[in-house]
Amino acid sequence: MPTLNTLQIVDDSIIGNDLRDFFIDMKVQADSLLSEFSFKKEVATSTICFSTAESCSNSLASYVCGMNQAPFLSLWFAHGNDCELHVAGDIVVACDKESYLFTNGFIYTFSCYNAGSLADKMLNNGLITFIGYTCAAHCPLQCQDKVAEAALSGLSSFLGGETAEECLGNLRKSYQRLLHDSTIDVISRGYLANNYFGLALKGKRELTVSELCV
Amino acid sequence: MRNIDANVLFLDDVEGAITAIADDIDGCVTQSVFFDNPTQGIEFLKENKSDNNIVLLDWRFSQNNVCGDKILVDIHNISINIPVIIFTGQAIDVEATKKMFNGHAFACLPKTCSTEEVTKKIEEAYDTIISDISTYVAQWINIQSPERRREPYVTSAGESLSLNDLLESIHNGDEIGKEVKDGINKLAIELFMNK
Repeated sequence: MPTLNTLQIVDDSIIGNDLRDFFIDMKVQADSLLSEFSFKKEVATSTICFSTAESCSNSLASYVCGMNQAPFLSLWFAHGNDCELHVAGDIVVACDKESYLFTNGFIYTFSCYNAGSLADKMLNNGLITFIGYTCAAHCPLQCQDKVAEAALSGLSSFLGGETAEECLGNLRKSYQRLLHDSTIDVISRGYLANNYFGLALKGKRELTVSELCV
Repeated sequence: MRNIDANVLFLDDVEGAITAIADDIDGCVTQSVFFDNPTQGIEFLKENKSDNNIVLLDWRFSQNNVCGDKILVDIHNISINIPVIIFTGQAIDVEATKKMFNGHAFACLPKTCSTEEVTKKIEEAYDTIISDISTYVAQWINIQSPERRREPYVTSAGESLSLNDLLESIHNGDEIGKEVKDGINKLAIELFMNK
């Protein structure tokens, strides 16, 4: 039976992390999507999670080592900037640190600014595809559940068999629905409009999940 | 002059100089207030920050030897959304002009100008206020309950922000305030283009 290997990077640290619950919720929903995918497509899934506990005692390399010899999926729910990804306030991936680990990977994120220099650097190092945000990825707390659902909709369509490009299209449509949702106040929708306009897909656009199953 | 929903402040050490203008706008604006002491004018603006405010500022106070550039900075620090019309009785040199417009003055008028010219500038200043989306964002935040204004509202770049934080940033014109305005402009684009 083919297997989809997945590396999740989740910032579930308590101190100074206002998005902790949101990131954990994203991880739980992603796990559920992966289980559903496994059941429907008859594909085994093997998931490793790198979160606060792991980041305290281990380097990311020890987790990815072995996985990146073949295509794999990586989900990032953490804080970031143009050149770095953070877990528990520590840099776990940066333009000049561990960016080579994502050779053969497809990265799908909810993290700030990572679709900028960091994505470019990883693509130069063999990353297949990156989907994320060139801007700050905002979460208006009034509609946290709706944001989580929209932010994962691209992953859902990717696991359903659509290409990375279609997956981005689905992600955009989900954000668009929120922008037109009059139950959400205008300032919150403004923040979501920033997310929407900051969405980016880099690398191979026609990638499908079957190419990641080994 | 048409009706204007704004306080008009006169910061001048000679009240007589503005009497004719004050008479002309009386009844058309929310209130017109005269301050011969700039500190009191600044305090008024701080206390009434949530209102629309327009300031007419004497560039050089003859009695207190206070210069307009310092007051202009103080006003800008309260909110970038307060238009300041500068009055001057003197010839303006390049250095003074630079200070005025680096201080974000809205306009500069000679003290000898007609009341019609002044009221026209006040109307233009008001149009600037009411065409700026941040005016309405601030108004909306101001009508929320104190509890709602204090609680976390959005997380942005790893920071949790309340509506009070957003309001402060809108007055300061900092990156967070710009992000709010930018987001609403983008939302408007989406709503126009994909109705």
